[in-house]
Amino acid sequence: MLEVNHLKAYIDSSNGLVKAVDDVSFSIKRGETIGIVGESGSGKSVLAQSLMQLNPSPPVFYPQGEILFEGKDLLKKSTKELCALRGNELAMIFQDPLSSLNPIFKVGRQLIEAIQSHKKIAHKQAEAQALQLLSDVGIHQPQQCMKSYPHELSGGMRQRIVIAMALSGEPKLLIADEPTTALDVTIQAQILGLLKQIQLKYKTAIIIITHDLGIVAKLADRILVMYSGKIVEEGTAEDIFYQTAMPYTWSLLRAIPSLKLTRHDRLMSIPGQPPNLVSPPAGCNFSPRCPFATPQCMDTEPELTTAGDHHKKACLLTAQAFEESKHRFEQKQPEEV
Amino acid sequence: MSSELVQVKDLNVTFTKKHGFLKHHSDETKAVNNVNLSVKEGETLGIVGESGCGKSTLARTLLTLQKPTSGTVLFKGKDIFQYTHAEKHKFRKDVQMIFQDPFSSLNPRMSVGEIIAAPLKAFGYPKEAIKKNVRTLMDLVGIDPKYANRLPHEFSGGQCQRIGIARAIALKPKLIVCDEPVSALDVSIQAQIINLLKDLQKEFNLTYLFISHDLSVVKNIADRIAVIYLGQVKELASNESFFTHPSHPYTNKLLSVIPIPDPKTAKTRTWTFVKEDQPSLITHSSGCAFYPRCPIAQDYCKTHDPELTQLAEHHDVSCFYPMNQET
Repeated sequence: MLEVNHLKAYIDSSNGLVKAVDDVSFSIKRGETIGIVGESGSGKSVLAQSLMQLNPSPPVFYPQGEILFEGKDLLKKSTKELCALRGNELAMIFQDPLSSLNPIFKVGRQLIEAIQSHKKIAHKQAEAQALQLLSDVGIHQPQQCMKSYPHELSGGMRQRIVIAMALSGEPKLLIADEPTTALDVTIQAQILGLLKQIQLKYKTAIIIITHDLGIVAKLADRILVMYSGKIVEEGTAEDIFYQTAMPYTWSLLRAIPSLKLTRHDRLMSIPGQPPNLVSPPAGCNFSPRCPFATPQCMDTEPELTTAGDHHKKACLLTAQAFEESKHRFEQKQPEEV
Repeated sequence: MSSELVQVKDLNVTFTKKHGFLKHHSDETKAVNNVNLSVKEGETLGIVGESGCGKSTLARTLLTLQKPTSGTVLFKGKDIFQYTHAEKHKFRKDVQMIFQDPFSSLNPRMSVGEIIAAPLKAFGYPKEAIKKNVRTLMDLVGIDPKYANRLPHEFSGGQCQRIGIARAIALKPKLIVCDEPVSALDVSIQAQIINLLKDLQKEFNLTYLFISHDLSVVKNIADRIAVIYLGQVKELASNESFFTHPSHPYTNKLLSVIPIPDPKTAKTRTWTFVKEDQPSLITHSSGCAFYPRCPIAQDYCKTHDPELTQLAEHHDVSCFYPMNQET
């Protein structure tokens, strides 16, 4: 349904060219869920916004690549054509539900406005539809909710309203940019459950962007791991978690505070900070932080290569070398603690 | 580890909101409802609960930022709300706080060096000592001292949180209240900050009150854990006992929603579809506060309010029908 081919999105900043998205390709089918995982500053939000063509341009420009949505390139569409697509075919949910709602209008008015901008229907009908949407997303008193202002509602409620709005045009593709990062764990589970419910009902394709691998473990059919603008590993959830082929993904997995660890265990953190995208390090971008980096990694940039069925990785280490380094690393660990 | 640094006794914090004609009606919000807790020296007490359950109000009360409606808070055996001026001054040195949002808790117009020096200045350290201290502190939290002249916006979220930590430990406090210190950070940075907090605790024998909504984070740092629901302590147990025998139905619910980074286990779990939200804190009628959401509630729970009672050693729970017990 959606195909991204060799997409590059660069940002022209006063400090130099930022390669926010660098040669990214992937595709998504109807009813599929893709998880895009990466740290802040890895370019995942810029990628998401490129799909919706929401990046302000300038400074963002696309020197290369195409985004094919049902066979047509979104990069070549006019603003008018894009407006018709956004909301109807593609919809997006943002991280902070408070800043994606207008604080001075009641929720009902904003929802009705969203519905009427997609379909030419009477106010009464739109209102009925808004009520239906609100109860679809699990709001118990939709009447009352329509009459409240965003600040009167809790974070979970607001996020549900934003989801209701995104659903108003019955989109084929829903892009959720960190939909639960601002929320509590309990509400997070509810929102993720809601997304799944919607997917089963409307056969929507979902792209979920997050920094937490735990969230996508259950939800996503396929996972893309992004680092400094590039996809460094791609595969099914099982591939990523059980056949991790890339040191970055491995480190991310080890950093999650899991319930399996006790308080005497030390969490493994990734040393240092994500790289500066203006002047990325030579060779593999992850090499300065990689515990297994070899001299070769410092000057050769790895390509995304096959590591199994539907499983790809961008790492110079062979599968065997990676296993050996992991083993060596784990033996060294106890002394350091 | 034995002596008790902080003791909270029958603490209540109630907010009243007046409304209606001539403000005749009033709603009471019991943000903290009859809480009894103690924090021992050198330990980490994790406080877990959803947003709006009153955990931040509890923390603010311990710092005297919020006056209690009733009850007392003893710090080293003395009531913090009866302090004289001089004692208050000393107390402020002993108790520090680390905030959730690393950006808004640092003054954007002050350089990082000035931010870390601020508490030292307030307690009249000589200039030379301040300079030296700031350098050591920055080293301790893993920020290069040569960046002391930079402003907070030039740092990433994780680095800003480190600066906040440096400021908190500047005065060598006894107790640090950490209000969701890692929930605004990326997973990889989260691990760095948790490790840093653990290291500092070992080095300076710090006591932490660690507030979080994420049980997996708390498991990695806390010695004892208190679960708060609508202002009440529902379960209080040592780390080991808490995770091997989670007894309160609410605790079990919290545990069941933590995302598991393992597709096979995760996929065996059922989806949590949207159900009722946490009810508001505004006075609920009678009975157990968790009754409306409880999966194992009985009629008895509707009319009777359970008290926090000891179930096993180092394990208190406030429920008539505790789960997962050793037989």
